[in-house]
Amino acid sequence: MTKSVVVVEDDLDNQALLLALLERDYDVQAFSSAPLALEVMATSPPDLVLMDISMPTMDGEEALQHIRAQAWGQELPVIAITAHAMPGDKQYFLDLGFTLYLAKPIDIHRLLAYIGNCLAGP
Amino acid sequence: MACALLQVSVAAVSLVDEGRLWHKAVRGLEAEPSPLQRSLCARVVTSGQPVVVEDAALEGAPAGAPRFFAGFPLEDPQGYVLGCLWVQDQEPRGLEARQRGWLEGLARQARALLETLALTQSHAPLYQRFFELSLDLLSISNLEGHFTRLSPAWEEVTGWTRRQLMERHSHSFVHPEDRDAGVRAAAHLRGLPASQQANLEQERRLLDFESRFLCADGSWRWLRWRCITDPKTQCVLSIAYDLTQERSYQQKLQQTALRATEANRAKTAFLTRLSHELKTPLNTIIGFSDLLSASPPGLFSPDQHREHLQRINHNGRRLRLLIDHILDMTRLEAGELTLYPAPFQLVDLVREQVAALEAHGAPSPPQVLLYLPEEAELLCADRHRTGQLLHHLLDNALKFGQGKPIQVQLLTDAQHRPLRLDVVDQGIGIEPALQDQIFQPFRQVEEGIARRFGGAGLGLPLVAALCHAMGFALRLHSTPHEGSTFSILLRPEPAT
Repeated sequence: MTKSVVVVEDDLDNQALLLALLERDYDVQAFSSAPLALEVMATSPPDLVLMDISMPTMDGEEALQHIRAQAWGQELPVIAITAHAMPGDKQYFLDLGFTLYLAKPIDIHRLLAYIGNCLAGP
Repeated sequence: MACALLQVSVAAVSLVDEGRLWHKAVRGLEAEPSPLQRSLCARVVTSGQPVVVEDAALEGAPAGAPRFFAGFPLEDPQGYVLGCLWVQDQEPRGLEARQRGWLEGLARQARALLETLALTQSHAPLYQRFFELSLDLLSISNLEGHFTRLSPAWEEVTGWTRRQLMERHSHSFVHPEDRDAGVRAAAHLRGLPASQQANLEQERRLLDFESRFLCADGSWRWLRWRCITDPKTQCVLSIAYDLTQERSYQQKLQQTALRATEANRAKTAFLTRLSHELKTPLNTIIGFSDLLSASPPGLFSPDQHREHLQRINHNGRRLRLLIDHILDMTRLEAGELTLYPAPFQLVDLVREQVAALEAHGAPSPPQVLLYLPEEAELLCADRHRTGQLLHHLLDNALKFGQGKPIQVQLLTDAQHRPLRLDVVDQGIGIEPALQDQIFQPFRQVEEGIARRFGGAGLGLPLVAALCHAMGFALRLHSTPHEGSTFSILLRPEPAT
């Protein structure tokens, strides 16, 4: 069965890039704002989330807290994708509870490998 | 002493002063010195040698005159004879070697005493002059805290007359917050037991403190005090040093350091934000070009292929625009932006910019309501830069307008000359305290906003700088949670 991936990214071009990368292998749903994505995920939780950090209305950190607070979201793989790349950021985001961290500009091959690993499962 | 030692009736010290002879410390002599005594003293002084007359009658002294005389010269350290110590008696007598030694000793002692006296007398006016000359504030006060003597510097520094300063208790001039230090010092000085006060160690313990002193013009000057009690006279001797200038330099230095730190922090924050802004379009460019070059031919349809290429192109332009903005800001800050003013129709420019905004397209472009006059004179300004101004204002309204309709209106005067251009949003608004900050380059209000809304924080600073460069005035009216109105006054009143 095709695994489902939710993309939360407010920059439409970057959203389009992730769609173009993933939609061949996964069932991808993209959202440009976190509240809407949370609403949809609550009814049908995906297998993996790609989360941008800088977004209006609700940023990625806050969105992650909402996800982790739900029963369906506690073990859900959530990958942070951010252009905020300062030394120490990686550990910061992992400590927040993100499963993995990728800095923009992303290496598409690494992203695909990460997603593959997360979804391989037992 | 000489009388007792030698059992003579008269002993005296006589000093020579410009041809006159002064008798001092005369003992046992009622009348003025006789001519004989004068001549004998003169002999001692002129010869510089002791003169001993055992029986003056042998030397032709009148009957009844003292018969015995012995005089010893008093010399100053340079060897000049200042006068003599002499004794006389009614009876003729000899002078034993022992007695002669005593007299010489006494003469030496008298000389030493005279020297001390001369020193003190000649130096007292010197000390006085030091007191008058001092740039520091010298004072003597009693243990109750009243000034009893003040150096003239006090008048220069404080503007009070010395009389005014002495009339009131010294503490009344001290800043209320600093009184503790002064009061503690006074109590300490007053409170020393007599035995301790006499103790040299205690006496040498100086008191140092700083306090603000009230000046005649109502200002405060920082004084650094050093006080000591004089146990003998029960006086407090104080020297105060005017620290005000020093303190203000110190303060300025601290403020400058603070500003530098703040500027540095803002710069770091700006660079972080800027790198974020640069990486977002880069992500699209690198990502799509990687995707296209790694995909086998035919994976994407020709339409998809073109679409991907367009995104790369669009983001390349986005990057260029951002870099242009940074360069514009830098040029504007350096005053190096060249303007090309020419008459143009502002109404047309507004329509163009709004159309461009809608073409660029947010996911669901908010409604832009235009209120433009039917008739408007041309505006003489740099059209390109005016367009940028408008672009940044619209961009800002779009970003912070929460998707609600945006209003753009142009007002003209009676002669249809463009007067004011407003861009009104109904967005998050700006706290009054932050309304100045948003126009400063490289700082967006709060990091949180930067994170949520993105942007390099260059839009509004560019608006402000462009307005300034083009001679427009910029006004902001904003209420948090209700929205903001940015107005460009195109023909501002000349500043009066």
